[in-house]
Amino acid sequence: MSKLGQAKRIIFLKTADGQLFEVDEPVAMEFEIVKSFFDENEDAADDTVVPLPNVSAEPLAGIIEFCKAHVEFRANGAAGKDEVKKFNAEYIKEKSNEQLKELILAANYLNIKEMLDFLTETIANRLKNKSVEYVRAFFGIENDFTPQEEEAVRKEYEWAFEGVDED
Amino acid sequence: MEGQQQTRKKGKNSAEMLDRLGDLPDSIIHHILSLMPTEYAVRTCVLSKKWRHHWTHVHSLNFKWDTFGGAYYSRPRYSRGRANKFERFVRHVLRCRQPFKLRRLKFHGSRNLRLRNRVFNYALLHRVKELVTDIYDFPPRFLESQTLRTLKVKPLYMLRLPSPFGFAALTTLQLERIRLASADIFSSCLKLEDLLLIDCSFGVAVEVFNISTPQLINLTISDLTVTDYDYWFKSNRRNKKLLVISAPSLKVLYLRGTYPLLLSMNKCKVLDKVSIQMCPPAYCRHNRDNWKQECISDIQRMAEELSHVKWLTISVDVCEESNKAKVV
Repeated sequence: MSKLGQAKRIIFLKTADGQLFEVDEPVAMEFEIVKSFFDENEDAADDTVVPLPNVSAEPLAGIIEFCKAHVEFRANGAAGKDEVKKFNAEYIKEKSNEQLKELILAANYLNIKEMLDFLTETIANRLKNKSVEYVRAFFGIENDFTPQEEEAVRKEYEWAFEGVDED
Repeated sequence: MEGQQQTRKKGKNSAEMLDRLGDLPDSIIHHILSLMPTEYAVRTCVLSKKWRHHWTHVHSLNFKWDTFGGAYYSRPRYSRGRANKFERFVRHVLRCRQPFKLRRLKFHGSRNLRLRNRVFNYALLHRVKELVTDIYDFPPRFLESQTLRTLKVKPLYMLRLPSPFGFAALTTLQLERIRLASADIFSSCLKLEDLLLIDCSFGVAVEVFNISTPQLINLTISDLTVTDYDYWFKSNRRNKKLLVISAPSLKVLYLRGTYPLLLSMNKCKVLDKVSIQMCPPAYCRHNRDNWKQECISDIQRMAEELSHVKWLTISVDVCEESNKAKVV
């Protein structure tokens, strides 16, 4: 829990699936989109509910957990230390690829740079050494090449496929 | 895979989900591809028509010959055939990538001088900001880079650092396994803020080593080896090695190295935190009787010089009494 400030302000966020979240101000201000909402609406009442039409409850809960921990790390001067790495590793360990994608879309929409960097790095780590089919399924890409076209591309990029040895 | 996706709940069905993933902004896709070993990024060209050219937008390149074309470290030995494939790959990538600025280049392990020059010249031309490499013989023009902010060098074996050093725009420098052979290397790095020397050593001929940079804030020297057999074994001893740090902005100093090493840092007036740990080499105990006293008096002199520091720890390993001081 952040113990910054005396009268702690709470920000209300409403997700696409209609759930209401109460978030401590320093945590909510990690979301660039929320920050600019209040910058643009300076006279917004304290109980204003910020709608987040592109985010559902599950990823938002995950994002709040992450940002809360990182706000505290920064307040304690622990940024960049081992305990942050440990937290990040634990945080991501239990997340499925599906959840990761949800988180990345939400973090991108909310515009949280630190978290986005961390998530993209995690995805990059999970995808390296993987087969083309795996990556295609991961991103949900539909293969719109005809077999002949795909063959032609593979031929053009033959120098990148030499000695492929994937998981 | 799609079937598996459907098993995850939430009011959205799988088709909607795929649409949304298709909406993943290109910038994020490019960012993800930039973080991968480049060969995996390039191979996404066969995913779909849209993906065919995604990889050419990567902002960073990651070339590592020992991982090229295989699982990590599966074939550690250098083979001519593989090296050729790697070189061919690197040249193709440099030719096909869109001519954007290069945020970061990781480049490990080519013995081919011409390829190395090609890569570093490419990096220079594309205004590279960060370089991580195991190579130290940069083409001379590369030393004049005005864009390189971060440089991390970790060669496979101890390398001698050439001088002059150049790299006027560096803010972060990390050197690992480098022999610091000339006396004042970093003075060209006027903007350097963070300097890390890991597992480095002083050349035998260096008596005084200067670190003088006006903007330096954090200095970490860990596992510094001061090879000085003469000091321990000869009766007509030479002077102890001297490390002179002239960094008026220095706030944090962490130094861990072998004794004898004297420290002079009277130009560092804004130091917040200093941690010094000296470990006399094991062989010294057999050859000198009074080394312990000498060591302690040197440490005390250091502590006096650093008495203005807010938080100070000085310790000597191997000594039974570790000499610690804390000044507020």
